Amino acid sequence: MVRLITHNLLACHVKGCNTNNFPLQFRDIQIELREAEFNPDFLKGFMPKIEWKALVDAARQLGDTSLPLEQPEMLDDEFLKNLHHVLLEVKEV
Amino acid sequence: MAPKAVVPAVVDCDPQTYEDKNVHAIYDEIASHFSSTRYKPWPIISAFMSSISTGWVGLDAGTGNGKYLRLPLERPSDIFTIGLDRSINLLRIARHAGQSVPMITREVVWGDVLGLGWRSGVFDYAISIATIHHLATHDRRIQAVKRLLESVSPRHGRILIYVWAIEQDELSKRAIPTRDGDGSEWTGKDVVVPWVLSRPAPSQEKGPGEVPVKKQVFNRYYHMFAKGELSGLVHDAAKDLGLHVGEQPETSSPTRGVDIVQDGWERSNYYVELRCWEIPE
Repeated sequence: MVRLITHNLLACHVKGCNTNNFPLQFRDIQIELREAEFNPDFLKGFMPKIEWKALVDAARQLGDTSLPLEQPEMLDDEFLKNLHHVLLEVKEV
Repeated sequence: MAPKAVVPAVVDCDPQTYEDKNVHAIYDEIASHFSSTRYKPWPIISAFMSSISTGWVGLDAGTGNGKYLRLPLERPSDIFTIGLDRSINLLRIARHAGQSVPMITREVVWGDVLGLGWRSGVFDYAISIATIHHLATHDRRIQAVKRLLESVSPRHGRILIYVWAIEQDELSKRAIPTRDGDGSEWTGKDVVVPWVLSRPAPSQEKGPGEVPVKKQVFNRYYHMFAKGELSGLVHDAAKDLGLHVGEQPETSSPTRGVDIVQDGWERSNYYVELRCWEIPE
């Protein structure tokens, strides 16, 4: 029901459900794609907040392998478009 | 919109059970009618959302029909607000509202404002508009403010809270006492506010030439805030979390705090705007 940007912010509300209650595990996943407005300035501002490994893992579980395993230092347009797609256009339902 | 009538209420059972019956169940029933009356963002809330930096993410705790999720209107994709609410029917509206305007990001999560459902301090801002006044005890209202303070960045987190005031526009002639007998303590007032829902009546009740309408009344619980009570909650919540209240001091010793930037009354509501600050180790 949520986009991967939200999945990257959510934690489990049950105390001690794993070491840091993050990230939530997917179950019976289906995905939905919905176009969103591309805004590179938003993405650049949000980048420092991302739990990168959790995002890449989540994207791969949903079949998207466009993101590199390490967060890149050079933010070129292709990378930002992939990041935009993963964060805001892929919805786990 | 101010209510036409308020009736004193007594919270006579477990507060969670009381809220389930007198708040959550009612919003699920009246969701679409309620939503049709709530569409215009208030100026102070719009201004707050317009002042949020690009790239920031935020939480709308008690989002209702989600009318603040599309703000700021002039640059909606610059920030990302997630709406949280206990009413699944209001969230259905929040998620689909404004679909005629494509490319606007809306995200909603079903949950409780007293829950800990997020990475600690992960949000840059949080708003809670007309929500905390539905919590049935003082402790739960403190808890809600604590959750807001915990959900935003200790370094720069910004928060805006609106609650219903005892001092009402249209009801100003009805003096509702805001202080205890000895005048030393503020105290709010527990009330229920009727919501009249008109539904088409079953066809057999139809009289000749009449539009059949069946009226149903739902009494929603509110805690009407007294003057000073909302900032009092902030002080109590900050104390529990070990935060100083006030401006960031000119000191180098590590400490954390929250500043009350605005504390006011607008159109029958009290509001506070908060800013978190931290002097790191």
